[in-house]
Amino acid sequence: MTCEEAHRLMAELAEKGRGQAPAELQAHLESCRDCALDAWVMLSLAGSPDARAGELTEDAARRVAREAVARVRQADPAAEARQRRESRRWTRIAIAVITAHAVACGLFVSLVTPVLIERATALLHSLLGAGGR
Amino acid sequence: MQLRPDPQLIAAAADGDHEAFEELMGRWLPRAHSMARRMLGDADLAEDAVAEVAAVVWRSLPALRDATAFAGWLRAITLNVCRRLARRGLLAAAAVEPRGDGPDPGAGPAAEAETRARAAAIRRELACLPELYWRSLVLYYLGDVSVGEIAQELGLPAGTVKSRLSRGRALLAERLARAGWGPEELPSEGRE
Repeated sequence: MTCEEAHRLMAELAEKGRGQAPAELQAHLESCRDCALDAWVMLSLAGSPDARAGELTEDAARRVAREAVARVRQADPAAEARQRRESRRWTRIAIAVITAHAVACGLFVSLVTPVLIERATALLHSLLGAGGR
Repeated sequence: MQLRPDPQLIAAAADGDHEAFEELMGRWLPRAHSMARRMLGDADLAEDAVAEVAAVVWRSLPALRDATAFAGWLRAITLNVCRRLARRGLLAAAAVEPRGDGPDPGAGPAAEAETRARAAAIRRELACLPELYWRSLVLYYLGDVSVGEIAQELGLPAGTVKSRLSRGRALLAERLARAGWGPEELPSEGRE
């Protein structure tokens, strides 16, 4: 077992907050000082009763988010408008670039194409004329 | 209702969509809370931390250009907020005495008290490490990420992260030993 594999297993055990380390991991920890310290730290932090208590549910997380937005708005009512302005600025830049590109393509087609057609026709005529003689 | 993918939620929330932001936070804040809980050792304190994290995310989301970097970005914000809370002295209440000839770890309540005290000591000593080592070490211990991912998040070569982890570990072990804590028996051999 590599140190990386051992770390992954330790993280899984720490996430669960309980459980028995597999024999393979135990054997690795007996031979690797760094991983033994890592395991001790990670499992101590995850296994303490304070860390195990009170998971945040999705609903609670949504409530926290809602309250955070309300708090930010209350503290700085202009923040939201600023945030939107910033976001819209990039949208406007993107639209401007696309429009400029389209206009350039249109101009190219409308100005250059007739000249090209005219020259091609003239060339064709001269070739045909030369062939006829 | 169909679940919207994260990049879509991130873009909408950055544009000021409250519902998208709530949905996004409903997915990600529990993970940030789990990390904060292990780091701070208190569910209520962890909830204060994620409340602050949510406010920072809401304010700063328009500045996030790459939606794929969101997970690492959120982890970094969570770490910074937790570090600030820890530094503010809120952990002082959890200060513990060195173990010495402490209670028998086999006993129920005594073992629980010992586990709690040990975790508090680790948190306190971790929080006192220099920023350079602290960030790599906490991400490694609490962020559920590999060395490669830490390197990517911090914009460092993997070798630098490994050496910071190694130095950080040594400092942490030293500080814990000085405070009277440490694993009972560490193997004498080094890393493979």
